[in-house]
Amino acid sequence: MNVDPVSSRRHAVPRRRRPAGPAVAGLLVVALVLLAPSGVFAALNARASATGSVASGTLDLVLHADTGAGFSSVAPKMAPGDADNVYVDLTNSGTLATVAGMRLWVGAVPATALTDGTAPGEGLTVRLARCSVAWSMATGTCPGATTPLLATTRLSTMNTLATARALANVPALAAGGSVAHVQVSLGLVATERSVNGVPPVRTVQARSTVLTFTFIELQRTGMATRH
Amino acid sequence: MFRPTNRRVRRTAATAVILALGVGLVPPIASAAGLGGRATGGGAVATGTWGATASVTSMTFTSNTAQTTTVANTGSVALGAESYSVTLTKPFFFTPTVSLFECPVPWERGACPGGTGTRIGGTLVAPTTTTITSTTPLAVGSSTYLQVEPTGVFFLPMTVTLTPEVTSPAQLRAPIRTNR
Repeated sequence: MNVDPVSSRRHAVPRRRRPAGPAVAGLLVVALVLLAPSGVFAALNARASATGSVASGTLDLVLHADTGAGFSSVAPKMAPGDADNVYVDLTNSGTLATVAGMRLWVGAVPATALTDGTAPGEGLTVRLARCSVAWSMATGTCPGATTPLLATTRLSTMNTLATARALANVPALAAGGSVAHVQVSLGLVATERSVNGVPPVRTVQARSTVLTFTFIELQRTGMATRH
Repeated sequence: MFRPTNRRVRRTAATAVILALGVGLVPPIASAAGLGGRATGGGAVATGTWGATASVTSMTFTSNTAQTTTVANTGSVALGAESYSVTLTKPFFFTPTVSLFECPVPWERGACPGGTGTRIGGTLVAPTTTTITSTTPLAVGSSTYLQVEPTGVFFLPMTVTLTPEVTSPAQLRAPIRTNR
């Protein structure tokens, strides 16, 4: 008599099934143990609670034009060595003071060789300085005392929040305080040789993008208050 | 009917434990950080192009008759100077030489109308590869006219290749500072 060996094995050796119940129960126990303390803590404190009012402060940074049009216009057909300057004020319009310092990063849409570093050693740069009085629009010079905030920096090194650069010489700002008369100077670095009208493969020529300068301030350190 | 295998149950349990540990142990980072105020501003930026293009880049001489080429600023940035990479091939016999002259208007029968052409570079002796530079400013869209004048060419062909090159920032117009 022919017997199908496969079929025979399948019926002769039934698969043992371990019940899943203990494992699932163990999982629940572990989860409860880990999450339980916060619940217990809340329950105990509820019995000793008291009421009182609390209000939080706000931190709000506002950027607006100083002298000139600010960030509203376009820099067309930049060439290496050119400088495109805009003049802005940064005001802490919240109700909290800030710590000294500020950070800046510059995003670009779309990312191109101007800002992403794909043309090594080339691309847009930014430099920030502060003047004690309003800048001269005719010459782009500071009639008063100049304070550097950021040395010339390639945008490809500060094009994300994670790579935001710290600005120097920015004092702590009280509520309503400002960093006024800031010159934001955009430049272009490019050492390229065009041969018979053709630029190199990795080039910053004929590129365009929209830049977003993001200034970040941080609140003053927290204060412990006793009542 | 779906029945979970032992392996699947164990894997599920392990995943749940890891998730539970994550919930219980990860500190509340966000609440530890202070407030951050942000202000943004920006604008569009575009870059120009720079380069010069020659109408003829290769010339073959079998006599001492001059040949010309027109070099135009085909970029969007004015140029303060241009370079030319020049290569001369030497015939099997003879050692010809070449001189380059520049004229602000097209050459007419070998002469620069209204004056003499301006020599750029020295006398080149075949064979050679060299770079010569003209300090003629070229506005966007404008042209300069070159004449290649050989001597010592007798029947045997000599080839001259002439390729304009523009290097930034040295050969571009003076930088522009814009305050807005």
